[in-house]
Amino acid sequence: MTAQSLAIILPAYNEASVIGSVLGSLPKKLPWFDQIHTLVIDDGSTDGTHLVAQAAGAHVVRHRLNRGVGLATITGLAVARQLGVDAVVMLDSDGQHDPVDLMAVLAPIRAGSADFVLGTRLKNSGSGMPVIRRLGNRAMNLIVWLSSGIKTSDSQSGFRAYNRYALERLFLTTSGYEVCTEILLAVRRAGLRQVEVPIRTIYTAYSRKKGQPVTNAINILIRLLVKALSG
Amino acid sequence: MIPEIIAASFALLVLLKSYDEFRRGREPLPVFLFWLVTWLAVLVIAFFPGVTFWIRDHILGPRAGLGTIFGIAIVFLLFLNYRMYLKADRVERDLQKLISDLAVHEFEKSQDSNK
Repeated sequence: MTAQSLAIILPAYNEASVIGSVLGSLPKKLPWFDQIHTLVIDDGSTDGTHLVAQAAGAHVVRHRLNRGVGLATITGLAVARQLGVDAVVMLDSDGQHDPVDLMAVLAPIRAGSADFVLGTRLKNSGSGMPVIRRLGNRAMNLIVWLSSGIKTSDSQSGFRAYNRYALERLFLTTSGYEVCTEILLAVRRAGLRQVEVPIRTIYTAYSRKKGQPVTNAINILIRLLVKALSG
Repeated sequence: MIPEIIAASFALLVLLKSYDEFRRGREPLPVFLFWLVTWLAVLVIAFFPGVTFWIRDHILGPRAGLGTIFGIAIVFLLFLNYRMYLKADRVERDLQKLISDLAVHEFEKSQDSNK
């Protein structure tokens, strides 16, 4: 078995109060990977997120200005390409994703059965997602299906894994939450093999406050329409 | 005569700016031609206001009222608005690329200095 390297990437914006414990909960070793890079993409935070992340042992990549989770994703994937890692896993930095699910999300990549894995919160009956959020996500799934023909159970999930093949073929452009939809479109356009894996979601008062509001679906829809019109 | 001089100066300024953008390759030929025709039309109307009556009688038709003219003006303004959106979008994308590239560059530098 050849040596494998993994980048765990967490886009973060003003997460100083939780990023330390989130990083502390990440595994230092995983059975399939002999090298793990933990990267925090600090999207122009003003609360010292980068200092807390560095103190917790993560490598920090800092945006000078806050531009959104989409650009943090773009930068994260660019750094992963620079590092030449074999796989990338991205998860939210507000603590809503359970690090225990890392193995499940990476398993199809490791097995060679998928190029891109989407951790889905809506296939797990015990996900604990509030009803209004569940409805909002289903509405977004419907919009994604109507606009692109892509059927997915959780189009807005931030828990995703990519193999190197996918990493070298996915080049994104959107800066906000619409990146979630853009990734799915790019995956299909690149002809990548996609798998969905059920994940658990940890809903705390903090992660509920930090998560995108349901009304954001309208903003995402408008931005996707504008992007489609302007190319 | 003063309104004509103001209109001519303003048109000349915009045309020179547009030509400069075109010369530097920041504006494609169709866009430059569009502004050229638009501002030449403004100049013609400023110096020969009677042209508007001729347009109404021969192009829009004698029954064209203010509504037709306002309709055309609104379409024109919407087009300008779209052009401004495209420019703002281009600036936004350039800014994004700059921020992302700078972040990656600084990360590489910090990695090199740690070696």
